[in-house]
Amino acid sequence: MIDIILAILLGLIAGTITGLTPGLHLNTVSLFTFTFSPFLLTYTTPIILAVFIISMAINHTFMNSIPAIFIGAPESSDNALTVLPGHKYLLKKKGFEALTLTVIGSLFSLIIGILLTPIIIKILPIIYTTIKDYIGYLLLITISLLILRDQKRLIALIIFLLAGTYGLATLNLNIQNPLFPMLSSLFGISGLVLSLKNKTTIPKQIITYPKIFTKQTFKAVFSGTLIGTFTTLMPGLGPAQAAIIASQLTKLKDSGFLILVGALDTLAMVTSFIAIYSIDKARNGAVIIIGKLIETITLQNLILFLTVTLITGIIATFLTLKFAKFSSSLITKINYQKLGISIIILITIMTFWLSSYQGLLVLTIGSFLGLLPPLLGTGKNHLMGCLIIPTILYLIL
Amino acid sequence: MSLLKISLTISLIGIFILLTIPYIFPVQTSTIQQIKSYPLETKVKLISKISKIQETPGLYILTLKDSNNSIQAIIFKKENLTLKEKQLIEIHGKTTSYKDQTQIQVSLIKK
Repeated sequence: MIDIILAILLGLIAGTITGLTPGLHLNTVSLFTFTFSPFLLTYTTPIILAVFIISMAINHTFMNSIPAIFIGAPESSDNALTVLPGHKYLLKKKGFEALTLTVIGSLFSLIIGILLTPIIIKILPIIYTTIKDYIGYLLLITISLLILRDQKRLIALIIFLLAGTYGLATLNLNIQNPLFPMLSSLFGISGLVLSLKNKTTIPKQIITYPKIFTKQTFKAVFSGTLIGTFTTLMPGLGPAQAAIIASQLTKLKDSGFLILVGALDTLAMVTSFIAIYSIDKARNGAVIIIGKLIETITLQNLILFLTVTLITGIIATFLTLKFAKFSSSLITKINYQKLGISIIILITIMTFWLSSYQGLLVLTIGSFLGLLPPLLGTGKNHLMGCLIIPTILYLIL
Repeated sequence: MSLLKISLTISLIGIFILLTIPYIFPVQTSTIQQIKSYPLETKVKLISKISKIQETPGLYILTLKDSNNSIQAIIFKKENLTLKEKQLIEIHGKTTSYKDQTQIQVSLIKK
């Protein structure tokens, strides 16, 4: 029992570090844990290592919205779309409220995901068998609707296709970690460059709390749970793509969208634990490592994992809000221009470390490509074509 | 307008450059020993003989051997495989890991 508590605490610390640091993905730490597992297993058991990874992963999904909202740097593709409405809230002095919305989504989806586990275990295999051959077409339909909904349809289509070509070209390169420079440039650096150009200053933040039980909350959590469970089954579909699909089913305001993205990010992790038990499929790096540590996941293991998930989720809620309050007061004491430049330099260094010279090329091109949607007056969400087009081609061809 | 023109120009030229890089700098052929030392997710090209073919419900597992080393190559089932043991093939793929062993996830086979 003490081992489990210690593993949860260490996982919370690790998840805080990975969540708050752009470029440090929890997959990296999970892989690091696995690499050292022969040494660690002389002191502990595979279950305890798995508990550590789960605690880290869940806390990470709560914490990673903080850099996305407060400094415009998405930690990964999973929360790249958080930057967009989150930054709007930040400029309206409500960065903390934006963060709280993502936390609401994360916590509610976590609880609902755990409560629905018995049902998900039964239906997941059935759904998987039925739809796995058609998901490419479903994505194609969804994207078509997204583009048609835009007021500047032709520009939206061009941006989507350009981003898709950029994504295909990047993923075809022989580089390590192509997603980091690609998404950091499209959704991170480009936004920071515009802020620097427009000499954006972050206004003094006010700590405001959103209403929790609203129609937007229920719509976001409901559609997030439905689509999130569904997309867990699909290779190539992560929380960001799920957010696009879900936003087509339910009209959401910015507040609802932030709840949705928070919900999907955390739910993806919860349902991936269920998926590895029920259909033996791992859908993210952390769960892949758990699958390597514990070759056969039993029902007792799953119950333990979900219990750890719940405990971590509750602690992560308070931890994240604390960090968010601190970030709210800190962000206005910092020179945003210098902070923006520092973040760009940090991302550039991380890119070179992770992906070398070709990564820097990808980063540069993506930064300019990411400027096009705001300059042309269309949505940045069309830049998700960088992942969606490769996914559609992989599934259909 | 100038930032828009610069962004559009660099985006278009940049995407073109990214598309041509794999053709200008193609993946070099590696030995099995070299492949085992590469980091995960590295694109590789290997010319080797098939020593064994195994079939599972979801994939084919080829064991490829040279004089000193062997490595497994994984092919996800999309169509029937028309390969035979002792056949010389060229495979393109990326390095992955399974049970601490380096494998190649195959994307292209040339006979």
